[in-house]
Amino acid sequence: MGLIGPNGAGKTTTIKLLLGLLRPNSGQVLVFGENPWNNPRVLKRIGVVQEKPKFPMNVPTLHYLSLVAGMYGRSLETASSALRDMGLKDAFQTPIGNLSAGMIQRFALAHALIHDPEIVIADEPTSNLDPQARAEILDLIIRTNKERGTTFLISSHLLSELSRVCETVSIIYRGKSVATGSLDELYQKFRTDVVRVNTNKPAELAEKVKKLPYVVEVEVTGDNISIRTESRRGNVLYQDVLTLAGQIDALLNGIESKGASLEELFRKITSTQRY
Amino acid sequence: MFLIFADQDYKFPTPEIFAALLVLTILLTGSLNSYAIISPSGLAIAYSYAQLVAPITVLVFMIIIVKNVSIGFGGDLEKGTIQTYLGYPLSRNRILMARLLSSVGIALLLLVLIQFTVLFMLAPAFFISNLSMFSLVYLGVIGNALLITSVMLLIVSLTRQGTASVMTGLLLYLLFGFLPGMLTSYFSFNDSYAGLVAALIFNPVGSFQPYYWTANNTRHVLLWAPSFWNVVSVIATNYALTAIVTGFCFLYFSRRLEV
Repeated sequence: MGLIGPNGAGKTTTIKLLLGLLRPNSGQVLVFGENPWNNPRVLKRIGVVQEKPKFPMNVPTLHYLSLVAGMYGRSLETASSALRDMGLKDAFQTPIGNLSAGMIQRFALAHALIHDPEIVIADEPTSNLDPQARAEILDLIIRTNKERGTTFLISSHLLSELSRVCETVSIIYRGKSVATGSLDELYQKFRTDVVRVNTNKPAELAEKVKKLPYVVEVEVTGDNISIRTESRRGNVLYQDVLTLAGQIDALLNGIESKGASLEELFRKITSTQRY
Repeated sequence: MFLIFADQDYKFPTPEIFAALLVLTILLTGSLNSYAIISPSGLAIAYSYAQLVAPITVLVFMIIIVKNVSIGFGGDLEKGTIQTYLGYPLSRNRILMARLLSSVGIALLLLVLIQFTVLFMLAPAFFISNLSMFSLVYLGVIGNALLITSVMLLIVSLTRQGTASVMTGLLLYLLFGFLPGMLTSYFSFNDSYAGLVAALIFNPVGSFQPYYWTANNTRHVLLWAPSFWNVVSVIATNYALTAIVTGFCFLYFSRRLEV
């Protein structure tokens, strides 16, 4: 499951509430039926990957993980196996502080999975990583989910990533969940169509198009007009653009329509909340 | 959890410093043995021996626990490592207890082991027969260090800054050290030792000795000569104060601290 929202939307706060690091001002937080603030035992069922994982930096990876494994009643072998699974078999004796950002995040994943939790909560797990490291972490998440059946709750503002790994998404905006569902459901519910037009009279044509009742947004860039419509109105717009261009003798060099990306879907949902 | 904290707190050179102190104390006390003060009571003799062997080790003990609390615990809060620890399925009280045992407990154990080993080597028969007196003396000797530690712990929890707690710790260490001496002069004018006793609560090692006021540079007036039970009361009050401050710290850490 993905938790999407812009910076400051409340993703990290939500995660901290789920982990019992913050106390709710009002209401109640229940994880597996327990309040994590009062009952940290529930954390046995949860693994955590922080945005910028904080570990004691001068301790070797295997040593630290074996201490953590011991705390969960697991063996040293569990620790070494967890590191091997995350591709860190050559870094057993490396102090955590000497690991690269990508390796620290993989170590954090091994750390989160050491006790075989039912769910792993990951707060922006790839935001500090380069594209290759980002892809590696996402691959590890997908593999772990498939092989172990571990559920992941991942917060991110990198929507392309969430569309790759998440089946369900909750969109958070200004501290509230504004939409929750599978990606398909959200696309169906909030989808907008976008039509791009290339013309010799972009400003005049844009003014005409703006007046159409089902048009949501018009943006002019050079000779191009990007027109966003309500769901499934792209074909109607196509006809209307031809008619309007004819009225002002505008030459249409190109016209194409496409469905919305996850980014556009996100913009659509949050913009409806804003006003 | 304790092992994780101990692993951070006692990296090189902390254990080596304690080992060196053991050797140094043995060498020093060996050469100073002939200067040991012989007093009539077991407590006074125990205190005299402790004065021979304690100072350097206690100072190092103080430095190490200040480091562990401000850099160790303060660093956990400042850098956010505490979030990782609070993600473990342990109660907050247990986490703080593990932190305390590591920061202070191990250092305290090493201090007592060094001191008692040396004292045993100096005077085996006397040490064994007066073990309770030696224990009381050492409760007094480390009383102010533990009180300062508890205050530092509270400040670290509230401010989440190690630096603030180090400064407070150093100031308190100096203040608690000088306060009884300063108050001796002040209260002698008022012919009262109540304030002096109150000051000794913060540095109870001072309660093992009598206090004089020197009038006109010649006349020594006895201000206060503590009895055995005076000593016990001062030390007990000091530890009660330490327990209260530490209790506040546990309450804040377990019920209020949000990270």
